[in-house]
Amino acid sequence: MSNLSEECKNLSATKARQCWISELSLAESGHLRALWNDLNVTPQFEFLRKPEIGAVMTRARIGGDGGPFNLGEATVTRCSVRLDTGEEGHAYALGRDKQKAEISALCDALLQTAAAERVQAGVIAPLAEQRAARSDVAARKAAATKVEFFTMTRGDD
Amino acid sequence: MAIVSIAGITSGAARGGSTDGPNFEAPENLAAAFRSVLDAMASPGAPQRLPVAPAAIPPLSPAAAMAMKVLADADAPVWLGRSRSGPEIDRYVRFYVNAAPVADPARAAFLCGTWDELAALHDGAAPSIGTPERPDLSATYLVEVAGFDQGPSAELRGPGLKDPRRLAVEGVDERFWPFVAANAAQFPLGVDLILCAGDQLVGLPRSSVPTLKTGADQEREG
Repeated sequence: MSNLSEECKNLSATKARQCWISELSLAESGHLRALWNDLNVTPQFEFLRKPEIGAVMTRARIGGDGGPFNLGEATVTRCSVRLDTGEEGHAYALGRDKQKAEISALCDALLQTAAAERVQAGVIAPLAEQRAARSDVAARKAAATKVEFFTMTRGDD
Repeated sequence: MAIVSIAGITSGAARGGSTDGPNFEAPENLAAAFRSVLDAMASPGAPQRLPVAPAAIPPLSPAAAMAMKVLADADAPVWLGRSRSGPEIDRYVRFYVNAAPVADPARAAFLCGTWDELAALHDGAAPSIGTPERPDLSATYLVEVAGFDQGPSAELRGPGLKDPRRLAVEGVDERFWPFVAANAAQFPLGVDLILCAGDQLVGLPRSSVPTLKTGADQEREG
């Protein structure tokens, strides 16, 4: 998982791809749509898999490190595309937003082409920035509720 | 992780995407295909035409491709005959069927190939015929044939057949019907067969017993 200020650059090819796919999955739908429209690209592509909504069974471990169990189903939307130039893009996102899945898959594909810089700067960087800002706000709010215990005596009688 | 589709209409957010042809992965089309397979097994020997199927990846027929899509998965793996082992078909099975092809026929739930390739599997590499406690764990053959208008034929009797039904299979040889008869004799063990030609399926469950025609009859019909 990338740290807050990561811009998915200067990583190995696999880690870079994991990083931008992560940003796309975590993106807020409206924001992603706006960034995509501003980018104004019309890639020629075909669907390997049209956006489809389904469910995944999430697994967890008892106590965080114990035996595995089925936690519950989560709704997931996925999409896969192939550009006419051959690059393939895949996207999985929690929720039921088909447009988000489609845009994410296209971005994943475009980030493997010469247009990568443009998409990185136009989509991924703003998404990372906004996610960092959201995390920051949440962290501050949580910090404001922190209670300092200055003295604590434990009575044994 | 298992993904179950519950909707399948494209959003069309991006311009330029090609969406020609019906989406074979749409849930209604998968359900219709599964229903075709059930009908094929319930009415042995009667060809069922799939309304929607993926485009053929030669030499894999659309019927076999769709049958794998609705029947096989990561826990019910597929064995592919040499003629169906190209990179495109391999890719189709891995991505769309979500099942990596297995090399060992004994571990496969579904075996897809021509009759020659399937007939060549013998003891040692023999596909599963199930056990007395679990006859349902046997393999299913997806036999790629050429059609059902001519070729070696037999009369079928058994569950699902009120009157005997004649079935001709083009693309198999003289070993086929004896094999089907011997397979039926092992009931409740044995394999089930789904014959695939183009976009048609024919079911031959192990409960169907063929009456073999003599060699002379087959010569006459050719």
